[in-house]
Amino acid sequence: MAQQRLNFRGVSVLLVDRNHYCRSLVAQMLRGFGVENVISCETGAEAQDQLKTNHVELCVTEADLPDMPGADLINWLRRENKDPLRFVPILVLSGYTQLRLLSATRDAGANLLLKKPLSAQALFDRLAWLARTPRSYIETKNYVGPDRRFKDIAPPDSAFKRETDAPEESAQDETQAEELRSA
Amino acid sequence: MAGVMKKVHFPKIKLQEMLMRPGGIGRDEAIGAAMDNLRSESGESNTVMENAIAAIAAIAANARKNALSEQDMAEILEQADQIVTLAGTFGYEYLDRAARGLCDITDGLMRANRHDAAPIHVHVMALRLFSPAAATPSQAEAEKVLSELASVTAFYNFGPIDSRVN
Repeated sequence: MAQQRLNFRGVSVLLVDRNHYCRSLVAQMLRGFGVENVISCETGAEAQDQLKTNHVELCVTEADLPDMPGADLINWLRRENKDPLRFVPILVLSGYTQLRLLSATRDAGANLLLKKPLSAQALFDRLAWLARTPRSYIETKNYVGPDRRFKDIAPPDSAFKRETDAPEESAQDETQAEELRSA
Repeated sequence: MAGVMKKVHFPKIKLQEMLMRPGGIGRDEAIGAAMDNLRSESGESNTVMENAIAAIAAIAANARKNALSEQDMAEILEQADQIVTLAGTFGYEYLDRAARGLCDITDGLMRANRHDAAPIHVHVMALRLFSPAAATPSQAEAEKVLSELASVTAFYNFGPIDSRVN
């Protein structure tokens, strides 16, 4: 089977991590993939400044930053900016002691979460998955970010329990589910 | 059920478009190049880990009446987390496990509002034993030390940090 190929030429990445050496390691992995422009910074405020003046195609951030939780940076990105920055893919890296923050970053609108220690294999595979998996973005009062549902069918009992499952959407999904069941 | 305000966007994601352009790099080649780049950083990683161990040891050594402040604990946690990341990345399994144990005990102490320095001292000794600069211990020696660390954590009844993540 042909190997997955990804073209990183011209891709710019913003890398936010409190630790200089950890930033350097992730940057080296990305450069190995062919990324030419890695913008590194240490804090959420620096990241915000960089994003105001630079175009990036990917944001890689630690789950906890020295001046703010990673979730706050993601919330700012998703809510305070315009397209395309607003929908830029965000990959969150978590150290061992930051694991409890992962659910907050997910709920803030992160695309992918990865635990440290990070391997080149895991990073490449997640980026390949990002490239091949188009996702819509949901905007509600409490959430702006990628749609976290991957199956386009109704729940097994067709009972929609989420507040965001509007009736018309439910009806549409139920029709789709019925079609799938009868297929 | 009343409908909730919701918008669905289908934005063009430039990263997707760029990554899927023709050409590019295959998975094996990309990972190989990344590993080569990482190897060039491995010398510095040993220094960073040694410095982190020394920093933790210095904090523990300054404990007053066998107690550490909240700030000391937070600093130990940050340094130990860094060791976990680097030890895992560069394959120091025993050091990785000892540093995780230190994270577990420090996090547990902080959550319990306790400030005992003794369990930190025990972990510092283990970190030094497993540090990149130290002679590699035998598996039996390493497992004995690690089981003793586990018994310290069990004494306090703290579980691993990742067991508390939902």
